[in-house]
Amino acid sequence: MDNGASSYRRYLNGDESAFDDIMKELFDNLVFFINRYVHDIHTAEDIAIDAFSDLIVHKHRYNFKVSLKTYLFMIGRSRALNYIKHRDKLKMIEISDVEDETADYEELEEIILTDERKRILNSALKQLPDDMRIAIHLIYFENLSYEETAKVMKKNRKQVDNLLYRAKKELRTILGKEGGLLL
Amino acid sequence: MRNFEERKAEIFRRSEERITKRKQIQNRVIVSIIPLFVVITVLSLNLLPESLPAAQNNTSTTTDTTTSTLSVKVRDSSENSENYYAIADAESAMTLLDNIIENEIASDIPMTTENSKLQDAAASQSRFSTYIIVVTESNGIQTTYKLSHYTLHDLSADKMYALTDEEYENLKEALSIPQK
Repeated sequence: MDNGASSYRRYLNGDESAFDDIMKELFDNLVFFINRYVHDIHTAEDIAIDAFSDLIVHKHRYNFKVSLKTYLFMIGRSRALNYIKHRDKLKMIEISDVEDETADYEELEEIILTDERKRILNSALKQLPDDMRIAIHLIYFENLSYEETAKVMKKNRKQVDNLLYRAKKELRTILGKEGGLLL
Repeated sequence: MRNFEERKAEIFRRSEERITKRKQIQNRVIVSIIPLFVVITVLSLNLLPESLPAAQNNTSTTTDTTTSTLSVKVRDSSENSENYYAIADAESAMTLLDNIIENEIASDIPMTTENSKLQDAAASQSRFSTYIIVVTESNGIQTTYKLSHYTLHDLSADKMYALTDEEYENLKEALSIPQK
């Protein structure tokens, strides 16, 4: 398992079906990750589509030095932050849209949060500050290494260590003694 | 949310759109750069010959290549030598020549080719040497003089000037012409 790099190499060599494999492997996770920033599942999906189209438009920008997952998450984060920076302060949302969005989010949660441990952790994450939430998400939900997490978050290893230490401490308080064992 | 096929179609549609847009921008940049490049080339071709000193076109066998600043070179034509020597203090030699030209009234005798040849012959036969002086100004303009016994001949303007003893000696000194 190389988090999509070999599939992308196949795609670059002309195997169109390899792109499907990348999408199946990474698309939902990317949407779920971007949603941590934008808190809007449809926008997250839109941004994920843009991130994936980067793989087609700039075919040789990815240098295979990091996993494709890390690379896509880096693009996703950057695009999400860019979106947050430029979005309108006031946004009118139809109530029916909110209902749709909730349903879509729950559907995605079903796909990503495969076990009970992750579900409990996910509900507790909502109470954490953004940075901590993202760090926990990348380590515990996406199984990225500390180095990869640091790359995605544009921080150094030490900063990620500190973030995780503080996040775990917070989570233990939120989840209680039993919940602490999940980490 | 979109299903898998819809997402894939959207990814490829946006990619195509972005690639087309990128190509359009590249084309626009090229279209705007080519005329600019042509203008720069034409301008530089027009301005370059002007900025080059005229001395570069001179086919003489001078060894001095510092033509961008004022220079005065002298050749003793009576020795049948083609070699010029450069004057270290070109500035004062030039000033002296300017003063002579400004103060002196040009000779009424027209300097025909025949006269010039006669003067050369006389000079070569006599014990007085004839010197060719080439003054190159900082803008590349060259003026050639011929200095023989108490006469200075501006070859460029074709005018002759009679020199006083003092002027002749001063000029010889300024041009580092050895006393014979």
